[in-house]
Parts: sequence; C-alpha cells; structure tokens
Amino acid sequence: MKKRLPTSTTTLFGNQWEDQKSRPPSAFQMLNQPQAMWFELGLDARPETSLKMQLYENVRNARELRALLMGGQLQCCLIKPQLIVAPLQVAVAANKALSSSRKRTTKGPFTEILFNLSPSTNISQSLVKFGIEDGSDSVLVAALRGPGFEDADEAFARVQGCAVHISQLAGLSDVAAIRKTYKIGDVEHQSVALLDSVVSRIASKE
Amino acid sequence: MEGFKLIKQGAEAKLYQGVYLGVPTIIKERFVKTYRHKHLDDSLTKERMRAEAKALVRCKTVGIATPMLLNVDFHTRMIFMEHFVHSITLKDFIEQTCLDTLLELSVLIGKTLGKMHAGSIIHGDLTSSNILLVNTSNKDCFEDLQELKLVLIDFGLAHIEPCAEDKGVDLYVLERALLSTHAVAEAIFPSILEGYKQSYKNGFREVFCKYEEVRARGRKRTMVG
Repeated sequence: MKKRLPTSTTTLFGNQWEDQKSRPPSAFQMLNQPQAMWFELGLDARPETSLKMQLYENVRNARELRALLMGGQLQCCLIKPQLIVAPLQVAVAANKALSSSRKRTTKGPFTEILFNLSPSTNISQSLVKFGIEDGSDSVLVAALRGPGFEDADEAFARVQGCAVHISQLAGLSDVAAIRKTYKIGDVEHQSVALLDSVVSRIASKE
Repeated sequence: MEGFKLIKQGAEAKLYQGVYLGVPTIIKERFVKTYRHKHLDDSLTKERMRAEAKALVRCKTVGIATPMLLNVDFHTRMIFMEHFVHSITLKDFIEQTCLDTLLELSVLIGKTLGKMHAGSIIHGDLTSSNILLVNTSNKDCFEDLQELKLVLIDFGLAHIEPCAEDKGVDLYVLERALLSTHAVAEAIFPSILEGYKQSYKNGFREVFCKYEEVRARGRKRTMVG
C-alpha cells in the first residue's frame, strides 16, 4: 500500500510555489508560466543552464526509452518518481552535480545527477536504483537547457505517456522505499519532514 | 551568490541571506584566512565544514530539528542552509516572555539537549542565540508555545563524541552563556537540567558528575603533570 506524504512535507515546497507574489524576484527564475505542466528552474551552479522536469504516467515505452538512453541518444535523466519527494530533491542533486568546482564521479552530467540523488557511493547501484526499469509505467524526465545542452526537448518528445503536473509527484512517492533508501529511522521520520531529511543527506554527500 | 546579502560576520565565517532554488537560504562562508598557511587553512576549513554538515544530519536522525542543508561546497567554502523566516532566537524570546512560559520551554530545551547528547552529538557552542524558536504556521507570532518548534543552529564547533566529559562541558558552556546574558538564567537552568534528565535516562548521572567537575575547575582541563 502506498502511504501518503505527511502534509508538512508537501507544503514545504508546494506553498512557496503557490504564492508567487511573496517570492523574492531575483535568484529564483521560473522561466515558464505557472500553469504549464512542466517545471523549470534556473540552476545556481551554472546560471545560464536550467533544469527542466516533466512527470509522465501510463508510460508505454519505458523499455525503448532505456535502450535509447543507454545508447547515448537521449540527453536526459529518467528518474523513478517513487523515490522522489519533491522537485527540490532533484534540483539540489543537479546543482551539486553541475557545480564546476567539483570533480565528477561518473561519465556524464545526467548520470552524475542520478548518482548525486543516491546516498550510496556505488555508481552502478545508484543508477539502477534511481533510474527507471523496463516495466516502469511512470517516469520523471529531467533534462538540462543551456549552452552545451541544446536538444533538451527531444527527450520529452520521445516519451509515450500521459504528461501530468509536477505536483502529482507527491502522490507517486513511496515513503517506505524513500525511508529505506536514505536510511531514515522512525525517530527521525516522526519529527523531521521527509523532504528535509532527504535533501540534507543529498547536500552533505561527498 | 547573486541576490544574496551579507547579514553577519564573525571570526570564522560570513553569513549571507537570500533565496536558493526557491528556498529562503543562509549561506555560511568560511573565508580564507591569509595569516594561516594555505594548505593548513584548506584542510582545517574542509574538516570543520564536514563536521558541521555531519552533526546537522546526525541531529535529524535522533529527531532534533536543524536547518535543511541545501549544498555543501568545499571549493567555495560555503554551506547553504535553510533560513527560517518566521523565527526568533531564544535570546530575544527570553527577554519578552514571562517566567512560567520560560520554565515550560526550559524543560523542552533540556529534553532536546538530552536527546542530542544521547546521540553522542556535542554542539560545542550552546548559547541562547544558537537556539531558534520557529513558528510552525508561518506567522511572525511567538507567544503560543504550541505553535513553536525548537531548532538548533550553528554546528560550527560541533563534533561527535560519546564520552561524558564533553557533554559536561557543553552544559557548562550553556550555563555560562545564559548567566552572562539573562537575568532569569538562575531560575531556568534547573528546569533545563530537569528536561535533560528525562530524555537522557541512562547517561545523565555521569554527565552531571562531569558537569560538577567542570564547574569547579572551568572549561579547560588542567594539563599539569
């Protein structure tokens, strides 16, 4: 059975998202209209690059997407949405992955994002865990837009599935699996918001 | 760093405030100390940043609220942390609140510290400025304790240490800090110890013993002989 997220976790990002006016205008760039299905965020590590995410459900061609990705024909991350609490989680990992001062652990920027999402230091395990499977029917596609990442939109066009609003992510998150992956015990889960626990672990990973 | 403004400067670090990835953020930059040898400065800074991040996350694992970490960048020497917009320091709170509420709060503070020490985390710089009260319903209102959440901040001097000695020193540092800043310190400190006792049942005796020892001699151990 899938557990619903505690409300405090979903609102941590959701609230700020809703009230557009209270947000300071600089530093934060939401490049698209708020009613758009996808989610785009300017990265701090590289100001000219942005992270674009789109959630899909009822995906029919997961196997094909994986094959394309492995063949180097897709420039994106195919993330298992069950392990994602909120878009901020991916944003923090991407920022870390792309910051120029860090030495890369994996071969490409997209594998680096997946690797940074994972608390493990084992590269292949991280990619398997956070990447989609052949039989997945939901997928969170994350691509980069900016110099060096020109064909971002192609990845989104390849997905055969139903694009849903990023806020649906909350319903897809599998709290038990997330807690197991990030080793979040009962004491912590009761008193700290899940997104807080997860993001802090990703940020402090070396 | 665009859009961030300097809010505080200490001996070890500069604090900036702004918005990062849509989240209100504080950046703590441990700036370069030119009077130290470069290699030594680099490794000391890296070590301290690592200890700070580790202690913050470890506090969460024992159920203590700490700021959410958003980025730890050893190259630029910056730690990005969540900024609590609707918060007040314990220091300011004490000055504007009646004693009854403070006594109730003190037990809670003691419980939190007991939990922290039970988890072998030594804060290293417990003062009333490093304890925040955060309003959980996003309002700037700090009257109802039910609405407030206790958050520990500034783990810049924190380390992981299971022995009672450091825990005793931690309590002593807090007592001194409270005594030197607040008139009500003498009234509230026993309540803090009471709360500490309740949440650290199997270790408080040893810690109190050490604490008395530390009180008699001061924070530093005698290095004679």
